[in-house]
Amino acid sequence: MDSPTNKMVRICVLAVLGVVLNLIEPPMPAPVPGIKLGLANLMSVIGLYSLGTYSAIWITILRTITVNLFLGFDLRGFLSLGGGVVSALIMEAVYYFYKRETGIVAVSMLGGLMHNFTQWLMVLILLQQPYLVVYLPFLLLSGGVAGVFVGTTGVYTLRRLGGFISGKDTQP
Amino acid sequence: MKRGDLLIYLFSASMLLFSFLLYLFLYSGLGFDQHIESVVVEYKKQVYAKIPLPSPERTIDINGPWGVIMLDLNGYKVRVNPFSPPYCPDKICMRQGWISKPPETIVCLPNRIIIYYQGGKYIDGLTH
Amino acid sequence: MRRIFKYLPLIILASALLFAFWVNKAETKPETIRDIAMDTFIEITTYHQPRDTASEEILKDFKYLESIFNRYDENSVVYDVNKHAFEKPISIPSIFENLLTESLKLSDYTEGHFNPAIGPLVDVWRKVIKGEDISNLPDINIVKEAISISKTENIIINERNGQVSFAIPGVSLDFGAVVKGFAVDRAFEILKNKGIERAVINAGGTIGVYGSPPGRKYWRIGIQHPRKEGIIGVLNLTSTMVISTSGDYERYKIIDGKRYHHLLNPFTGYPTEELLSVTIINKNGLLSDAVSTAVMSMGLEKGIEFLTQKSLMAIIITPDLKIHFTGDAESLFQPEL
Repeated sequence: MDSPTNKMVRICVLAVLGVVLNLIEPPMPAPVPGIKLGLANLMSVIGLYSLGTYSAIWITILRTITVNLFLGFDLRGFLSLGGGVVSALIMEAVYYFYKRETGIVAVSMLGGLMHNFTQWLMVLILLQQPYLVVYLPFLLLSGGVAGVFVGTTGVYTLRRLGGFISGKDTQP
Repeated sequence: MKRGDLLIYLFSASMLLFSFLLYLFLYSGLGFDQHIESVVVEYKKQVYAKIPLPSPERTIDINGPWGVIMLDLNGYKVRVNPFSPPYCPDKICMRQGWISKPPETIVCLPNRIIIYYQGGKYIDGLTH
Repeated sequence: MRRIFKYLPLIILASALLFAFWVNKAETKPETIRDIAMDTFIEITTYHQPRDTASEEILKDFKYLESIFNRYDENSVVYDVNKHAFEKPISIPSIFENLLTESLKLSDYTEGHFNPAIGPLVDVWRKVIKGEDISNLPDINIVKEAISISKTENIIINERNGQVSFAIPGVSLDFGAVVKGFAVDRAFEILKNKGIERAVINAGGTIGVYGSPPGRKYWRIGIQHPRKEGIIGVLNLTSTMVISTSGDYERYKIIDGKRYHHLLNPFTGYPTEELLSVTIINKNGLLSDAVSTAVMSMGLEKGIEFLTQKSLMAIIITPDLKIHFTGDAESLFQPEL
């Protein structure tokens, strides 16, 4: 059951679930438009902790590209791709190097935080409007809160469905 | 709770703290403590409108390559009219509501429109 | 202990949230109302607890003052006095008597350079400055006649009956120069009675700062640059003060390359010439307003002598854009670079 194809299919299923979450998630009432709470990150976190390294980054890329196919590529897509990839990369790195020393909630919180931080940084570079600096604390805070929420949800999901998702149990 | 988690939390907390300090610093007078002279509508780094403030209560249309933005003005308060013709898909700027002082801004990212305050150094009043 | 660690992320986020709220609640919030009253832009900022109505009360008082002291309003007390006080003594409300007697005192104090009876002269120039009578400057004889009527000696106050009358026909009171300072003084009274900690009152360029600045060292009051947009410098003030500026740039008309503005020298009958603007910093708004008008008319040398003798703080700008200080004003001033 551990063939690359098997893993790929599972990654794709999680990515599709992420697309659904992404589409039904309303954007935050943030003054910097397009920045979302990042609930779709849930699928990346679940993927990372059930299917192992490289799954989070794949899920994120597949998810954001698919969502952009639905919504049309524009700056927001660019932003969500950037934020998603950076946050997934950081989570992957922490998972890869410090798997034993870290837990899901903390890693997911870091991911949420970095997700919003990256988006903010991109907007800042794009618009070069120094006023945007003042929104940083609120974006970081909301990213962190979303990350904790995602992480906690991930813990419970994995506890019940972890084996099913990774294919080690056939029954949920 | 694992050992590494603690480091992550400390890192996150310090990042938050730092950003709050930055926010406080900017809001409390050193960086953006400004006296408002006008509100500026900028599109792709080009200034399309500059409206002196305070303004009487009124609504103005600003035409540009993106279409029309309806700006509501009242004193120093500015907003994008919620019934503005839809010129961008997410309409966040229309829903944002009033801004009233720097460094508050209205940003329409898909159109690269920024609406922000411009002014000199902060003063409490002007004697003339 | 482990349990605490388990919930550490939530604790950190919760404390960050609390911190954000604390930042927002650290001080009483400023609230600004703006309106037009006394023929000028009014801006009142009070730092207060929720549901305080001091600003509204001050604005109401400003509108009340306008209804009494606007000499162009046919329903005002001053219009009634100017029209009928020669025919018969007119009963005046105590607030009118109060401002009139104070103005007469200030007229003596400034050796006649501030003159509340300057109405006839103002009327002569008003049309020119407003641009209604573009081509012609007023005839010198008309100006001379207006000067002779514009004397404070012609005002007779009967304190016992609360009545005022004029000794000769044509006398006309004009409180335009001082009513804003007077209004700010009254606003301070309201703030004091309401227990408001701090406020900024802007009555059309006469600014009153009340109490100590909010969470910083100074109130910062910009002084209008007399010849261009923007400010020439900033005054840093630590406590209650009224700042009043008279300048030749406010209402003027340029005829044959010469600037004719609304500040008149009561002795020559012509707009004052030597100074661009005078800013007075004093605890008393009425005095600030009257003295800034008077010093414009005195000119540089006499003005500085007068201000030094009375030890008043002033900032005087001459046509070469040089800034002169009296009193301790220089220590408060910070030039705009």
